[in-house]
Amino acid sequence: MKIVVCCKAVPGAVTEVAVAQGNVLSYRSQFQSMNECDEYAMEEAIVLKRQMGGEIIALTMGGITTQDILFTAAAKGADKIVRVDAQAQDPRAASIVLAAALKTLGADLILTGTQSRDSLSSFVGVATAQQLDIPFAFAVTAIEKDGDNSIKVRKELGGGRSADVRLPLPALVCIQTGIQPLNYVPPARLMRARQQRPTSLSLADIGLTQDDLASKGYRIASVAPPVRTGQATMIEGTPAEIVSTLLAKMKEVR
Amino acid sequence: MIPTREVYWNISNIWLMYVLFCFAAAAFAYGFWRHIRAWGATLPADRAGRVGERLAGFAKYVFGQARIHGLGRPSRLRHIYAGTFHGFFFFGLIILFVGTLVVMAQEDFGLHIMQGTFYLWFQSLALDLAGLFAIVGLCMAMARRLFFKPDRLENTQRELFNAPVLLVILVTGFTIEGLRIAATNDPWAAWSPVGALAAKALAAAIPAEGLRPLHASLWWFHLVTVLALFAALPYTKLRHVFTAPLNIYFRPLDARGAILKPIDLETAESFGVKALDQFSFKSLLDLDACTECGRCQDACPAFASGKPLSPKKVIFDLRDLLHEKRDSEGAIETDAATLVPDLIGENALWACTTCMACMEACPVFIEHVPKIVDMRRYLVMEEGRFPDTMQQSVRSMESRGHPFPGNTMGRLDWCKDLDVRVLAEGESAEYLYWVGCATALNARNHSTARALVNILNEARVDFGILGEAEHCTGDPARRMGNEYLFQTLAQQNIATFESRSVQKIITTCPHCLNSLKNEYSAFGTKYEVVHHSQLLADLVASGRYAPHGDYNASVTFHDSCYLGRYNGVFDEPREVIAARAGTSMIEMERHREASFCCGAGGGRMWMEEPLENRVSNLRARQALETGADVVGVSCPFCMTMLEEAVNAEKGGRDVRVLDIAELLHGPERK
Ligand code: SF4
Ligand code: SF4
Repeated sequence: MKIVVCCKAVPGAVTEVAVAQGNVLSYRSQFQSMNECDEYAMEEAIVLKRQMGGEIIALTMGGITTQDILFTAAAKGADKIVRVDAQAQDPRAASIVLAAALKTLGADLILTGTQSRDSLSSFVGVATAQQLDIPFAFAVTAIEKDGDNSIKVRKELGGGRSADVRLPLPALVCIQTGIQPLNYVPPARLMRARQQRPTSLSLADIGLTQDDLASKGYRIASVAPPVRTGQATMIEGTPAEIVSTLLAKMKEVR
Repeated sequence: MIPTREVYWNISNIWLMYVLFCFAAAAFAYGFWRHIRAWGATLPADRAGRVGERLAGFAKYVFGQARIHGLGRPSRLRHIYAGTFHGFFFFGLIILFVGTLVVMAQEDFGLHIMQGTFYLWFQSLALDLAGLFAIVGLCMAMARRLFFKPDRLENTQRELFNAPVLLVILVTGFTIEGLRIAATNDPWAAWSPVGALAAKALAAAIPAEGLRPLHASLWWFHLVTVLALFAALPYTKLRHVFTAPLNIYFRPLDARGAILKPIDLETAESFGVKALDQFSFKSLLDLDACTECGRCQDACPAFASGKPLSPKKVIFDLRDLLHEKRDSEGAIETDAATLVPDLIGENALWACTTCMACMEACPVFIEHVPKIVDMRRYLVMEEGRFPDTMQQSVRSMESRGHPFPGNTMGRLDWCKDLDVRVLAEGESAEYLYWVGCATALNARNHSTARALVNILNEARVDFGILGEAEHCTGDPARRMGNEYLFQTLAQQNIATFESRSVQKIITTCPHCLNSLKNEYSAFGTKYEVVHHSQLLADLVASGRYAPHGDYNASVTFHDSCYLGRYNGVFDEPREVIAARAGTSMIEMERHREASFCCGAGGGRMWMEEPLENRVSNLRARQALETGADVVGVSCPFCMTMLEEAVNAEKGGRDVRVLDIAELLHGPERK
């Protein structure tokens, strides 16, 4: 089975956060890492490969600095690492680029995270499946093989409920955090992974032009810092009092 | 008549002695040859050269026995009894050995020196007294083994072997001398008081014709015992007679804080130590130098709190493996077992706080901490195998530049309403105040930082901070064995310093101090780094700052490992405390070099400790025992650990934990 894991480089600690022109978020960051949800997707891919064999391709999109996370993917166990050299303006444009790249690479199963730490839109995975016109499942917590050409996945429905669904392959699955434990990448393996050269795909390589990167009608109306609502209250008193207040609060919520 | 004696009086077939000696010498030489081969021949750069300094230390620690008796050190590191008996037989046996050399010079090299005044004063009197002192020393040592049995010693049967053999040698020596004096009516008997006494007793007990035959057979028995012990030296712990002085000669001379050497990430083929043969020359020599005194274990907070770690056992286990895995020519098998977890359990390895108490206590300069970190380096760098909670902290350092996962505080939260300059790129100040993650991101430590900047402002010190541009120094990463992350963070910070032309740095955290001062210099930096205790002591001494009002409290001060043992700063924090009118100082038993860790070092801050055996609670109890009202600290980690522990242990008493800056500034002033 050929598994492609889409992963995104996201900033770590950010400083000098500001909202520019009302709807653009600007910040500085000295740290960059693989988006955590995507890291879970990568861990799941490794488990699937161990079970079913095949190959894992880690795919990212962005400038040259973003390829750093591909080395992490390679150190974790990706057989091939690919970067599309493109900066998409919005999530929709990103899904177009990814879909084109995925077509070029070919894949039986595509894994993405449910959301990225920086924009939190949860958009790209689903939109990419739509571009490719293949079945998908969102917030998946388990994947197993189901016959030769399909998989069975368990996806979260919210409110603690979940559903088991069969997906014919090829399919795209957005992985929920916690599907597998995250393994720490030993620095030695990371350093060795850095010796290899990632495949770099230009827009032309995947049959796109600069125009495809332009914003595709996904518009951010405004950006504002979160308002602290001060919802945390410290319950004081003797242990017995604390417990009864706590119980009363719980009943209230229910 | 010239005073002398006939050397091999009453002994025939002396050639046999030479034959026996050759056998013994061969066994001795083979034993040491194998040891030396196993240690390997390459001296790391920091152990070669600086001969003068090495010899000076050799004189102090070998002939001065400075770390054996520990005179002038805090009481926990003083060992008067052991120091006395060791001194007795150390010097006693050396003098007796010189006596043997004199005999050799006389008989085998034809130098006629064994006569006249020299014969009387040295070869008779001094040797006699040396033997006596050695016997007293040995009896003292045996009494300790038999009756006192300190826990730190092994106290096994095997341990009872060496001293009695030496005792037999000495006692037979005196008996032989006594028999000779009695049989020859030696006119200079008075110069050998013990021998003369023995002669009297023997003459009374044994008929005159029995003296000579008994003398001859005892002489051979004595000789054989001496040679047997000589041959056995490399094979028993008595090998330390040779290996310990060597180890002392090759002791680390760089600053204590620079003991962990950087790995060259570009060229290294593998990282850390997986198997024995990857240890350096000195690390292996260490193993054979151990005297089994157990002082390291006695000082170890991990051991004291019931963790599965004893620095002594680490050394013993590695040594036994070394001896097992050497071939007949001393080469270590290259596929020797993986050290962790086959030999040393992971729980033991991760229990170390890197507090250095073991190395401070070791009389022969064995280096436990670098070995422990080397083994951690292998686990983390090559296998990514380390405790979960530490992994989270490492991930946080990697992605957010500080080791506190889940922390959402900003680096400027503590000084929002204070007059503090944040240095942007291109700006600079005389001092950079390096706040440190544990101070900036932990609400309890904010008042330490606030007290410090208020004092600095009042004393008109020109300083600035980095604010959000400050990131972890990498200290926790390095102690956890993640050298890669340490170097990444170090390089980032060095770039930040360069963009602000930083030359002088103040830290409130001893861990930051140690990294910036002793470890960053490996990357070519030269900062003048001071801990706030040093700067504050200076400001007070020079009159630039005067504390406001009194603070009536008795204070005990907890020396943090990375300030005290690592960087030798013991006096300044005490000066700062004394500067505050109204305070009085009460020392804990374990203070200064003998201080006891708070439990946070070595990455242990990020490990859960079961309530019953927390290092911090042990320390809190020691502090509370002094009866002091205030436990003074000078480290944000110690603050976190000890405040919680003191609160848990203090019962109804009113005891506060305060940083020395808070104490100087006035704990009630914000
Ligand atoms: S450094 Fe401290 S905790 Fe580690 S072994 Fe030595 S004494 Fe024990
Ligand atoms: S390592 Fe040092 S302190 Fe520990 S038992 Fe050996 S000689 Fe003694």
